[in-house]
Amino acid sequence: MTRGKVKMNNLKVTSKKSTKAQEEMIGFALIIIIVAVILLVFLGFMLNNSDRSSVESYEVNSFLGAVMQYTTDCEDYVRGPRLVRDLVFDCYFEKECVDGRKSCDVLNQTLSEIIENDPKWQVGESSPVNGYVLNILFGEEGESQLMVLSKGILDGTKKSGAQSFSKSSGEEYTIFFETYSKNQED
Amino acid sequence: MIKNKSAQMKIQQMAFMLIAVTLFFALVGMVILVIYMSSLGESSDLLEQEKAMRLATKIANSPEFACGGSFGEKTNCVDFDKVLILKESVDKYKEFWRVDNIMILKIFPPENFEVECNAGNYDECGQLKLMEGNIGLSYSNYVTLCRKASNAGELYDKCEIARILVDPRESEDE
Repeated sequence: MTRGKVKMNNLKVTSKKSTKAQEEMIGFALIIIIVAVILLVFLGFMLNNSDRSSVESYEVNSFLGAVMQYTTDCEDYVRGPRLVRDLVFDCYFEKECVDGRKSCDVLNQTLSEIIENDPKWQVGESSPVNGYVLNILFGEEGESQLMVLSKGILDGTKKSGAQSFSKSSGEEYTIFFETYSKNQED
Repeated sequence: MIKNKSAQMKIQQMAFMLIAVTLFFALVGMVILVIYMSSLGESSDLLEQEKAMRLATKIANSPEFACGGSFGEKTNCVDFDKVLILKESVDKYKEFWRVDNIMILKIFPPENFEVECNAGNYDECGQLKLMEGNIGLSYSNYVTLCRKASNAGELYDKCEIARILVDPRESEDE
């Protein structure tokens, strides 16, 4: 009877030890898996920190710079044909061209045509671009919106650029252009 | 004796565990290396592209191309009149810019894309190739292309949107 009890106690101790060892092993394995996952996620972010977007942003910025300096067909009585950049100022003051068109309408139409006609930013199923948004803001913090142009689906890899400019009288304007292209894996 | 066996077991367990952990991290490292290596090719292409893009911008801002003060203060602005004249003596600059070809392609207004520019069709053309040969679109950047135009006898600055395309020469020392 006493021997039986001792045997039973021994078995219980072994079983307890075995359970403890299993728990330790599971804990250890879990720690390793968590560390590995964190490492992979971190490295994934590091490696995916897209170089492409920097190249494209450089291109978007150059595009905006060229657009700002484009000569439109809107003329001013004194200064002749207006640049897109000048039209932004004119639009803010709700000025009109010599032929009676509103400067905001001309600005809107010109910007739309420029983007639509450039194969690089054309939106469509066969095109790599899903959509775009062009925003003209004014104010020191860009708090007020002067114009917004948008087309397509604003989803995918984002490339963006911005140009800030100001009038001699001090008003500050910023033009943002963001494009959303299909992911490269697609 | 029993204690000795238990210690041996523990050492064995530890050794197996260490081997397993080392193998695990080695595998993870290999996976990361494979991912990294696969993106190296792409990174190299992107760097090449960026280099060419910056070269295009550098050429556009060089005195032979740049608007200077002729059209107001403008960056990345190419003087169309200058470039037309430059075309006649571009061979002298081949070694200077280290490019095989340079081309200016009008983007907007979208007219006469295929028409090669010369002094005769000045305002009704779409492209100006400085040297002979083909050129890839990926090595390009946006510029403003300005020229003097007249409207009812009055001269004004007309600036259009264009791309400057360059074909960078692969240097022998690279």
